[in-house]
Amino acid sequence: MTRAKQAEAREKATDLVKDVTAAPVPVERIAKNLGVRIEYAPLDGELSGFAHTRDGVSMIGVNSLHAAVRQRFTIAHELGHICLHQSELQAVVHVDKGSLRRDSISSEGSDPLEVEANAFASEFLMPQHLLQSLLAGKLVDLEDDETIKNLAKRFRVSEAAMRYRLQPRG
Amino acid sequence: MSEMRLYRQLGKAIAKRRDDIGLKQQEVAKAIGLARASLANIENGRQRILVHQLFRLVTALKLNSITELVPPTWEFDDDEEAPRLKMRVNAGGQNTEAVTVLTDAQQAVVHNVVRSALGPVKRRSTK
Repeated sequence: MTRAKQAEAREKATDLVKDVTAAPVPVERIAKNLGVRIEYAPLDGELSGFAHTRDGVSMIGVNSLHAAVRQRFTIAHELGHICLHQSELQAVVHVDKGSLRRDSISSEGSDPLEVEANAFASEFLMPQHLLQSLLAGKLVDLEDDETIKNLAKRFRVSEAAMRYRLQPRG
Repeated sequence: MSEMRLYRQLGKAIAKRRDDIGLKQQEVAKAIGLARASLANIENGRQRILVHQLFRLVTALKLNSITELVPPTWEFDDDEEAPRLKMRVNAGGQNTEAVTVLTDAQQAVVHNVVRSALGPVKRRSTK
């Protein structure tokens, strides 16, 4: 079931960031510690990034022309593919075209692999334990733009990604 | 030849940018001191551009760097028969074959980044 797979993706992300003590999550450092090579290159504006594995070496390509916040999401999303969908990346380069963030919001009708990678990225960049300690039990009103903005800034994610993360999961 | 791929890719990048900012070939050609026909050839990848013209183009097309038109480095693929990488693309949440959603130029850039990071794609072993 897709939902179980998404929970699995989140668990995998949680495990990787459990030792991070303060936001923002050092995406690049964690990826590199896992032995993943990260290449920044000016790609066509439509392309966010890509992931590929060859001879046991995994790499992530990131569009260096995009804003830093978007690059972080791209790396987290591609890392999700590397951690969850290794067999799919061996023979082919997996390229992500268009906005990944938009897909995470309208996940219906999306490929399960992309939904999983986005669930991974969301948890990876905004881990439960860091959110909890920052909010100290307070509930966030999703209409409260100021709070969302501050949280997004703190975690170095987009406001849309933060809003999505804070939504109750069905 | 690998150079041809480079010039074709550059030509497409120029044409796309020119189109995006709504300039005519005539206008851009004039700004860089070329005939309109020459620019048309460059955009088709049939004519090679000189370095100073490339820098003039950056200004004429209101860009900041030549790397918005060409990759920072280029791996020359001397072995024409070297296999190309296979690509799958997530386009708006749907995974599809690269040929249907990526331009040649887009694929070429990805190919180059992978190649410079992991080395050339090896031919399937015939040992």
